[in-house]
Amino acid sequence: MSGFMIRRLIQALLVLLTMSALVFVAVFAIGDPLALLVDPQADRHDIARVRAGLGLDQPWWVQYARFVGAMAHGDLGRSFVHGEPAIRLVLERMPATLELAVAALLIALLVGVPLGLWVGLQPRSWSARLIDALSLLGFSLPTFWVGMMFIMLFGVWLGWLPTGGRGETTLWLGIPLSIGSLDGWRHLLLPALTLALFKCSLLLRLTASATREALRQDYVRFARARGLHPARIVFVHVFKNILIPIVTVSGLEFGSLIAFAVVTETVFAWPGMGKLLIEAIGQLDRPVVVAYLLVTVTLFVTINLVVDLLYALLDPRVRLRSRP
Amino acid sequence: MSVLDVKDLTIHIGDTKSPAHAVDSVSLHIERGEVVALVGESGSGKTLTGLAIAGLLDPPLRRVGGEITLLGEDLSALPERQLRRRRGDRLAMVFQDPMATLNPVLRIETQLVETIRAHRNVGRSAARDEALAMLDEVGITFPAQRLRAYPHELSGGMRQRVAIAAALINQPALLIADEPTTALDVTLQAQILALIDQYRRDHGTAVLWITHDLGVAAGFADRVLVMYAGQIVESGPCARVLHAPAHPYTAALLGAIPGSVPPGTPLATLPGQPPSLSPPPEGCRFRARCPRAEAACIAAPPQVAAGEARTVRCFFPLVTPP
Repeated sequence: MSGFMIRRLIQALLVLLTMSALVFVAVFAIGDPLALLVDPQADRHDIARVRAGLGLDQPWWVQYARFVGAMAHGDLGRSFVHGEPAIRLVLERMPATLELAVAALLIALLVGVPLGLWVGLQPRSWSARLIDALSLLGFSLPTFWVGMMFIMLFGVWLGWLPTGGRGETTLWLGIPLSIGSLDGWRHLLLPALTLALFKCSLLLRLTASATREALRQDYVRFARARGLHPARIVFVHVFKNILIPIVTVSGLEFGSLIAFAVVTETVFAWPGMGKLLIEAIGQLDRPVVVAYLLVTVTLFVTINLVVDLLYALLDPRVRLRSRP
Repeated sequence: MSVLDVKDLTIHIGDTKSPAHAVDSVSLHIERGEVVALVGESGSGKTLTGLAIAGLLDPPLRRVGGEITLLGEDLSALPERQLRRRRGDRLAMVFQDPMATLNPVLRIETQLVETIRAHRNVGRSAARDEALAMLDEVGITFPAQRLRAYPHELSGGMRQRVAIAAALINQPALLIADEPTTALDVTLQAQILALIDQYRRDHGTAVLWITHDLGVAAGFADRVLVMYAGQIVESGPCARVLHAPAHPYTAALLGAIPGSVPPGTPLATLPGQPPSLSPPPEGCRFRARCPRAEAACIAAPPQVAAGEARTVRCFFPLVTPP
């Protein structure tokens, strides 16, 4: 167990290091941030001064060595644009993104899994066919389009819900969250639904196919031969088995919810990390881009670790150990 | 009164317009403490017969006719709710593959205790004690430890013992065993056979042993029923049927057993394949492969007596009727 954890931590560090190098080189290659930062009227001396001040006058390998050295001390540099530490900018925005992602995942699980179970148990009923067809639709519609349609329908035509921002936030353990107030809830609902739609369809289809698969297994037939109540067969024998793929996929999808909330955050002007990233890319604000990606990768790695731990908890056949 | 009495059981597969007649008018009965072997090749309908008796047929399989009487009660008339109360209680079933029969994510204890509590109002700890005693009875060493184990922590033979324990834990009057030794090696086969034989002697359980292995049937069963293409073609006391088969199919099966001919000579094989059952062929279903077939076989042969306590479905049996 501890061997497993150490191994995973080393893996995580390697992933972070590789990723930072890739991002650094990629952003370096895109262009000169000074072209955007400095007033076009500025003279060459001013530009050179700013360039030296940001350390951009050095060759890229020197810049990278400095960057890695600073990173080892937990310093990811200052934003070229805002002048603030990049990591602080990203972390400030993280609660908003996490809140959105958690809300979306919860909606997807609470709707997708029960419906998927129903479709898997009664595939021939008309309701299951309808749900199945709708899930295919939810699976196929692009997120940004759904977001805009929601805004048009609920925000513009019906006027029920606000179309942008986080609304009123309240502090929970020092972290500002929208779910503390009714206004916050109203702001959260549309972006969370938009983000949840695809994941919900995914989980629904996964649950349905896992259920159909489980129902064909001998252990279900044996459970029936022993005269167990149908509810026990479904909610204990089948559910405990399909929980394994559901948890795995939920974990992976949670990571992608955080990483790809970018589009939804942009559509709904949700002040999360994704929106920050888009702005930073537009301004070639390299430290912020790198900080965002490092934070996201760290989240990914952490989520995967949690999924592996849960996996061992759910499936007695899985034992965590470091393989030679 | 027989423990089990099946009359004219008929099972169809598929749509109502052109169904396959998978099981056709199968009748059988089993007495208390008796072992009846249902023998046939794959697709002969022997497993479906077992599932139908337990009420476990799922679409597209349908029981379209017949009566199933267990301990004097007509199961075929019961709704599923009532039928469920009989399954695992008065009649039990074990299956072929011990690796797949037990739920991989539930402890042995959970699976035994739930079987008890599905049928009897027993407290958890009392049920646990019963489960422990049952594991001991089916010959599992260190039963207290095994109770806490998950199926994957046990060997194949041990898992089949656990499955048998789960099936027998409510002392059923009838055990339907669907090839429970096929997936095991020969030593374990013998152990499982001995285990069920001992249990039957101790508790008077009636056993329907479904198998394709005539050797298993020979050493264990009191009576044997031979199925071919959905019909019982021959029945009778095990020793007599296997030593002097009346139906040409039974004779052909016995000729195909390794050891029935001197080493080095090829085993006898049957030409052709079992017929398609949608629709079933006219007349005798074995006609096309039968060395004794004659023009008369175009008509369906009835099941007739062939010596004491024996029946055969053939116009030209190898054993002449008395």
